Amino acid sequence: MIDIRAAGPMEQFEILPIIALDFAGVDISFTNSSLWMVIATSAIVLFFFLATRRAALIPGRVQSAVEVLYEFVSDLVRDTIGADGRKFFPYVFTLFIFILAANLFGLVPSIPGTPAEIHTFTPTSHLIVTLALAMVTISIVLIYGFWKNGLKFFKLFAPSGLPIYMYALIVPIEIISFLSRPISLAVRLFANMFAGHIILKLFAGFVVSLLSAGGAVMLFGIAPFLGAVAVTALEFLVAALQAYVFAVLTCIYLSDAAHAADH
Amino acid sequence: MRVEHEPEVPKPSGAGWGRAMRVSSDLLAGLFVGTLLGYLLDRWLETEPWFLLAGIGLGFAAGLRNIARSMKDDSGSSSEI
Amino acid sequence: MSIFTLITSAAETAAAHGDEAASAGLPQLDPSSWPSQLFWLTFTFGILYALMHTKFLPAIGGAIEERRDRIADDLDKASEFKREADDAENAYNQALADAKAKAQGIAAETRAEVDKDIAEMQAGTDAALEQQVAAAEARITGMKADAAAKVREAAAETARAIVETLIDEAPTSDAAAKAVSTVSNAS
Repeated sequence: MIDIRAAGPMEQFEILPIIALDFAGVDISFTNSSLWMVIATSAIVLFFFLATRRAALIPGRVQSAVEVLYEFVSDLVRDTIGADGRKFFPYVFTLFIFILAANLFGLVPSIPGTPAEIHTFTPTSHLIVTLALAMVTISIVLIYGFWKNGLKFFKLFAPSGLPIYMYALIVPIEIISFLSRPISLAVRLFANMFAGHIILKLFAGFVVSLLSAGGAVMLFGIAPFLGAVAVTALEFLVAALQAYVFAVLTCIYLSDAAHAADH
Repeated sequence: MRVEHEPEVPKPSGAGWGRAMRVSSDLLAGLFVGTLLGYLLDRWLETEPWFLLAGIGLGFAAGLRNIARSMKDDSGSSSEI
Repeated sequence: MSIFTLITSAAETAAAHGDEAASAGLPQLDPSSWPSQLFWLTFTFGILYALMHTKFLPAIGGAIEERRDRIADDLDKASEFKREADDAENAYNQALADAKAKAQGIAAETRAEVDKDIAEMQAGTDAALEQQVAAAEARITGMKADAAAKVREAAAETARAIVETLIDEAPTSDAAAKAVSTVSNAS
């Protein structure tokens, strides 16, 4: 029974509680998802701690890597948002590095024979997580947009120079479009992670079942094995690119908030 | 307008997959938000099914608007998945 | 209030309808795991943001900034050193040119002096030699005249002796001298 379920490609997305926790009637158990969030975060913190422990004039390998990341995101924020963007840099950077780490750790193979609770899990393959991150972004956009532009923020939804009756159509469309962009962002990250892991699992499943068949059939395992290797390489690319795309689009939304009155 | 003289370079398969993913997520997100807003307004104002229908239409338009915006955002920068 | 509440309420209605359907299908659509995921996401992301914001990013930015300043500083210093080196080279070239000019001046002066000395010495020597030559010539002329007078005297003497022998009468020395000079002038 368990074996049949374990063979399915959906098993890797199941949330399994490790430590049951309850807060005011809400289930906030420490799960496998929580575990991999904590692992990803700890790895980032350790990495950055090592890199900044002794900020040297001539950087070592770790410090160089961290500085490349820093300059990369810093350039992105400056190019997209402009001078206003500096205050969003820590947020965009944290977002980028968090998603990157979560995506990449999800590609580490699980250790065979360990309980399913500690098998590799990708937190970003759950829509609620990517949606929450997108919601934080849109909340910042709304709060900062109104704080900076006041009611002129609504100009974002009403491009000037149209006949009056057009606004009845354009404004609702623009509002829906504005609200749907973070959802599109969240769905994209989630769908990439989700689909990639399903494909990986399917290839891996082929390999395992063909190998277990034994004999000459084992030779047929080579093709899916190569396929699994290729998909894994592609997934590494996708993991990095999706983190980048998430950061880029976050910057574009924030830029809208900063420059709404200019439209 | 850019004039392309070079022969078209075949793109890596990931880019096409990514573009399809983005276009569909843009369209579906617009449709989803429009439909959801229409559904909630209908429930609040007890006007079924008018806002739902309007929401579907406007949501589709907003999805197209999203796609147009993504294309515009994209034209400046490099291709993304 | 915002889209967030809208979605949560929509999700609750969806959950009420299809709880068993969700648990059988996609784990992503099982709302019972959402509070836990959101809580731990907030927890880890919040800690990471706080650390990045207060500690790591300022440290990295500071290191990059410091390096940039240091490099700019070093470049300034290097250009200053180069300018100093250029100055020194110019000064050296100047000194070299001066020394050359001076040496040439000294050489020319010395040569002129030596030339003058040589000319003086030559002039002195020439004058002495000329004087000696003139003295010698004067002596030679004197000796010539002397010898000619002596020859004439001897010729007159001889002529007188010959005449005395021939005619046994001795002419006066004046007449003999007169005759000899007439003969020698004629020949």
